[in-house]
Amino acid sequence: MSIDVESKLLIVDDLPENLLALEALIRGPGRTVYRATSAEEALALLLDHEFALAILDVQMPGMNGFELAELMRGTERTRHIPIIFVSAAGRELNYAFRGYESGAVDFLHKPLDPHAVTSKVTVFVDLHRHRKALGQEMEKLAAAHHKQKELVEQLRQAQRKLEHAVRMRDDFMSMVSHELRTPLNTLYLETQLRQMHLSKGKLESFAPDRLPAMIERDQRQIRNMVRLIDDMLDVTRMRRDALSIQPQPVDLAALARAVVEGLRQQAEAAGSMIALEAPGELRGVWDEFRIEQVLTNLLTNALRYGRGKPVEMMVSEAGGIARITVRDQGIGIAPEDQERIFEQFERTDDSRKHASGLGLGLYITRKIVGLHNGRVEVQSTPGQGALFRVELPLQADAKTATQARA
Amino acid sequence: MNVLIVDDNVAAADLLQELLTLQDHTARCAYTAQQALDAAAAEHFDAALIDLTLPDFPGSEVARRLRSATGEAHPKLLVAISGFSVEDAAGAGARALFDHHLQKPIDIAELTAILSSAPH
Repeated sequence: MSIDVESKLLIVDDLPENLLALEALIRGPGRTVYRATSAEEALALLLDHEFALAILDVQMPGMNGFELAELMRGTERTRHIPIIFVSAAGRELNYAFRGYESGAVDFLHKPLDPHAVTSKVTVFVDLHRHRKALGQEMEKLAAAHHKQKELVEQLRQAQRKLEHAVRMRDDFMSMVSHELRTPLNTLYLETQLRQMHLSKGKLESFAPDRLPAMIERDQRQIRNMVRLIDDMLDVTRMRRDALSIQPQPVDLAALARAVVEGLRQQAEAAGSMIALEAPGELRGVWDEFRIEQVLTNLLTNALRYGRGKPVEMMVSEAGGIARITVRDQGIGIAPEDQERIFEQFERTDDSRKHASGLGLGLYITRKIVGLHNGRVEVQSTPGQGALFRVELPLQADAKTATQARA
Repeated sequence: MNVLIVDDNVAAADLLQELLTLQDHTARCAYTAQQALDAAAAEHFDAALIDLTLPDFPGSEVARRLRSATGEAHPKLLVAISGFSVEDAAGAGARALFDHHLQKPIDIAELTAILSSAPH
């Protein structure tokens, strides 16, 4: 145990020459001696310092040594300071000091015996140093214990986060594989049917006029699977904040026309059609591939939830902002769900029963629009369709998802 | 056998119907849970293939309603179809409602084996 502790000693006597003589006897390394020539002065010092020992002259004008000792015993801060009274031998011994029982008290008699003084003082100073050092060790131990508890709590939190992340990943993998199995099932059933047709010699299924539709069906399933895998990878990138955009000059009007044309067959299959209203040209600087993804996501949703009714897309520009709206006349979105639909798929239990798709399209859409410093919002009344509006500044700065978040 | 196919994926249901027909079964498609219950009430089926994810209510609920209080089912043979594995697809209670569980993509040979193992 380290006992590198400073011990402060208080000596109180109304005669300065007594103080000087006493100080000469008791000073030493690791000790600081404070002198007071009155009880009042001593009390002031007691307020400012923590003393290892107080040596009080009993006979002082004004407040005497016993009265000062009683005051010290009456205050929590000074109650435990050991006291040595200095008295003229034989005269004040009949004084009963009432605080005697509450702490270390000793007596020295005048004339002072230097050996008695130094040995008594050394006993109390050593006691104080040991007690003090022990206290410091206890504090260190308590601090170490506290720190350890904090570390354990941090570890527990990290563990909970990890477990949550692993669970999320498992749920996600489960969802992805489930969603992949749907187009895969259709494709596999097609091939098994063809195999059966072949084995039974039913070659009319492979007649030239039936082949284009067959190829289109297969391609649709394959496109579905590719899109699922792309979405999955995009979300993985977004989770790592690693999705970036590469803005290039783009004609948004031409891009919109191309996307609508690409979805023509899908619209027909849904018994719907997409009407596009766009200027001849709308030039801006965006990541063309990502904006195409946004248009495709919004239109695919409109077809999927549009109850086969026509879908309208409008592209326009005003005040340096490009505006894209997609309106359907489908089932609509309840007000309480209108914010949630932009969140990434998190809880699976309920959605497993009801949702088709991964529930990532709008999450990806909002991320991409955000990376372009734009915004996306929805207006809908259940049963009366939905209107999605995307606003994009004409000039997008290249940035990563991390920057966009800040 | 007369088989009821319950799947909201119209293409997959129709393909399955065609495949079963080619194997000398008869089959009818229902694209919603309600359609399935209506069909089962109107017609006798030997087996029902039920996708667990349906738009109006879950496939397990269809199976529950097809089973009487004594646990006997009409149709007699209930096969669950899902994109999830049998462990992930439903709780033990829902699993017990089905005689078999097929995970997509469906292998016709496997389905045929299940159908032919059923008591007629």
